[in-house]
Amino acid sequence: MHFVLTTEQQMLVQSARDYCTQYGASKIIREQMSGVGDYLRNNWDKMCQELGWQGILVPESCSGLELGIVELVLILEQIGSCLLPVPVMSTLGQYGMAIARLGDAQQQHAWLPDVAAGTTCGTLVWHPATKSEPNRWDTAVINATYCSTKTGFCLNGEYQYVLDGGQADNVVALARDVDSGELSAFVISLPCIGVDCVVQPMLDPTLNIYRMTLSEVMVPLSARLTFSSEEGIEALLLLSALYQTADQLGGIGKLLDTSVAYAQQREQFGRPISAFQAIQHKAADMLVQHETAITAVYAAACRADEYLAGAISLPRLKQAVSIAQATASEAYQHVASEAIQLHGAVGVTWEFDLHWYFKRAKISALLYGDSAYHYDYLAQTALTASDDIEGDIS
Amino acid sequence: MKLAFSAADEAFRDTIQQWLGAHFVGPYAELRYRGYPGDEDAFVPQRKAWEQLLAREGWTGLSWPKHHGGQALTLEQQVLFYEEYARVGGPGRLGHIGEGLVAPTLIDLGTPYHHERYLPSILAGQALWCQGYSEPNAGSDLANIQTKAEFDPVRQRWRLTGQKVWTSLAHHSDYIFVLARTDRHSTRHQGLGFFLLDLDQPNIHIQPIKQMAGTAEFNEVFLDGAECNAADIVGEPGQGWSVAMALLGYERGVSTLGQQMQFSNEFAQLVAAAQASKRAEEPVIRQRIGRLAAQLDIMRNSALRMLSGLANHAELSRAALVFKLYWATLHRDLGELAVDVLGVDGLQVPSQDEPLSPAQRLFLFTRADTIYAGTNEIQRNIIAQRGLGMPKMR
Ligand SMILES: Cc1cc2nc3c(=O)[nH]c(=O)nc-3n(C[C@H](O)[C@H](O)[C@H](O)COP(=O)(O)OP(=O)(O)OC[C@H]3O[C@@H](n4cnc5c(N)ncnc54)[C@H](O)[C@@H]3O)c2cc1C
Repeated sequence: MHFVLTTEQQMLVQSARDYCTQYGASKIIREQMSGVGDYLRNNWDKMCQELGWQGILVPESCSGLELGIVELVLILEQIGSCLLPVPVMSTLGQYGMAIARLGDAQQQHAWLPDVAAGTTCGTLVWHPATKSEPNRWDTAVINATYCSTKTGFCLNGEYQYVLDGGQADNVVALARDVDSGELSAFVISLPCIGVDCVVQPMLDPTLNIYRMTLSEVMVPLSARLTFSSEEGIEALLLLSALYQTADQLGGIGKLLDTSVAYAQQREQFGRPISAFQAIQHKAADMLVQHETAITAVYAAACRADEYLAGAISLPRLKQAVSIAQATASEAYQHVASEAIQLHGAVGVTWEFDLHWYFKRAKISALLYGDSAYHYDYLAQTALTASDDIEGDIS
Repeated sequence: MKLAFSAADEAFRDTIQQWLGAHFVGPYAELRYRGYPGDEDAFVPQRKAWEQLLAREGWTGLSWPKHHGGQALTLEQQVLFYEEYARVGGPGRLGHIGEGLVAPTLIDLGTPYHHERYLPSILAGQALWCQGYSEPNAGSDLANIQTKAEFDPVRQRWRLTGQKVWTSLAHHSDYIFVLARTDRHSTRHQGLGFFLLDLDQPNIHIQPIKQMAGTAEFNEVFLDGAECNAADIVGEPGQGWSVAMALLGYERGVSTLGQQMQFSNEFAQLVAAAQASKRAEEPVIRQRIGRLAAQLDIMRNSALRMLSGLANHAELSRAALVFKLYWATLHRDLGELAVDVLGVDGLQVPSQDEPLSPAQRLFLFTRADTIYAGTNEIQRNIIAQRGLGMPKMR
């Protein structure tokens, strides 16, 4: 047990911070009022050249660095603090991770070296365009289908919220066997006949997401990741939620710093507003939210590495991710709304950056199951465990 | 960054479990879950015997250095002890103030005389200590202390006159440490001394104060010329404030962890009660259960984060600054939920003299958690000013 960053991890954070501050989203969006997609590939190439992070999750056997989820989470935190549009979560965390976990040796060697070289961008395609239970967030909602053909498989499905889909060279798409319902993951190289991908504009334009339709998409046998399984895929979704919490954590930290700096410098009634107790207590609560989120997200990251090493079960990972997701989502929303209040009227202007974070906080709180969903899951876990509790409080 | 304990530490966990399994039985079994805040008066003689058993078997002075008779356990090992102790529902530790607060202060700042005179009886679980800081006009504003200490050069004794209040467990204690003014003309943090007093003397009167739960766990302590030896001052006259603050610093360390670990038992019982009363089927109750499950996990992991950081950072980290506010507020919420899951039936009392139910005690006594050891408001002041560098208020 050593639940703080190692020296190497601190160095990683520092270089990530320097990089992200330099290229943050606010600048880009202000240069051109379009989405951030156009910038994505440029950012990626630059980042691969300057920092070489593209290999962090790729196994050494495929020319990667084989570091852990903790390292990815630390990088994503910095990216989140500047809302930097760069396909780290999608390419490394989702696409690369899917192949590393579910692909056989041949498949890994076919696709992962290109990830490690920074030449392929990819993403995970899973979120159904229509859900029977809107707030539900697990593999059960996946409703795209596949069936076997003579030479491979035929895929059909409508997806949305595909992260960085418009810039992907390859995607991993999740679908169920049309007869048996068995869940599998397929690698599709783009462009591909039958795949349609369009921008999905959202309230938060710094989020680069797409709708994707697969109609009669034909893929070879080798496209199905050999070790696809319900559990393996569930783990990928949990990891995606975890990445998202790291992004949230970065936003929370940034908002806290910005708010404190503003409160120290803005004067009213002849003194900085930070001298007022009402402001101090708001700021203190923001710090509590930040610290709480740090613990929850880093703990989940450690649990993820333990899970990938085979040390803990999937439900244990899910618990940790649910805690992180519910906590970081609530913290981000709280801190974003208090940050605006603390800034007064400039807080609601387009010119100040706060609104990007405010919007990101809301979307990220709803995208991966809201806190109500995760708290209910945690309650269910606690209730199931309560059968053999001794001692009576009544 | 790692959350999991090493194999060697896990082996130590087994040792602890085996010991507790073999010894927390027989006459001690009835102490299970007893003696926590709101119930501190319960089974005092039996709990003293238990402290002494722990001492004989080498389970006291866990953090103390070997040359003072301690176990010099690593941080990890101490955490594991408190965690396992709480898991079996070990009783509230009567000796905590002496072992966890007084002893480390004396070891760091005391003289060989202090070590020889006071440490052995603390280590043996024989001497119980209480804390004489608060006074009628010195609560949050502790520096407003009025109790006077005068040195009698003829008898070579200190004489203390004044009133202490809210002194927990003074009526069961053998010694008290007292913050008093050595310089009559001084104000605030200057001119204070830190004294060690034997409570068994005619010039000290202890008057229990009945609390809202009906029990009396704290007291008024009247010092009417109470005496101690010339050497029973820690630090020089005038340095009392810094000694007092050093002592409070240990409150943030590993030693209070035992109390917080115990919250998990209360939670588990609460969940079982919610299951039995069927209130667990209500979404609003489930949300509150899920939220507490998350918060308990975060509290535990935050403690580990804070403790992991202690080794490297001399100054209090932000994680340490928010910890008290976090656990106190969490515990208060837990107390509310404990009665809510039982419904109005849970508020019945069999007769006026019978003890309250654990849920009722929890509900009432957790109100104190956000008051003692720095109220929530004072915590927020400290967080804003020390954690975020905001200006001091006057
Ligand atoms: C169960 C229990 C056990 C205790 N045990 C001990 C013990 O063993 N030894 C001991 O010495 N003391 C003990 N105390 C006393 C405890 O330390 C004090 O109660 C505490 O410091 C608060 O002081 P007070 O009660 O005088 O409240 P006050 O200081 O009078 O506070 C009243 C209210 O004003 C608020 N307030 C005060 N100052 C500020 C400020 N600057 N900014 C904003 N709000 C402010 C407080 O937050 C609180 O809400 C115990 C208290 C309790 C409840």
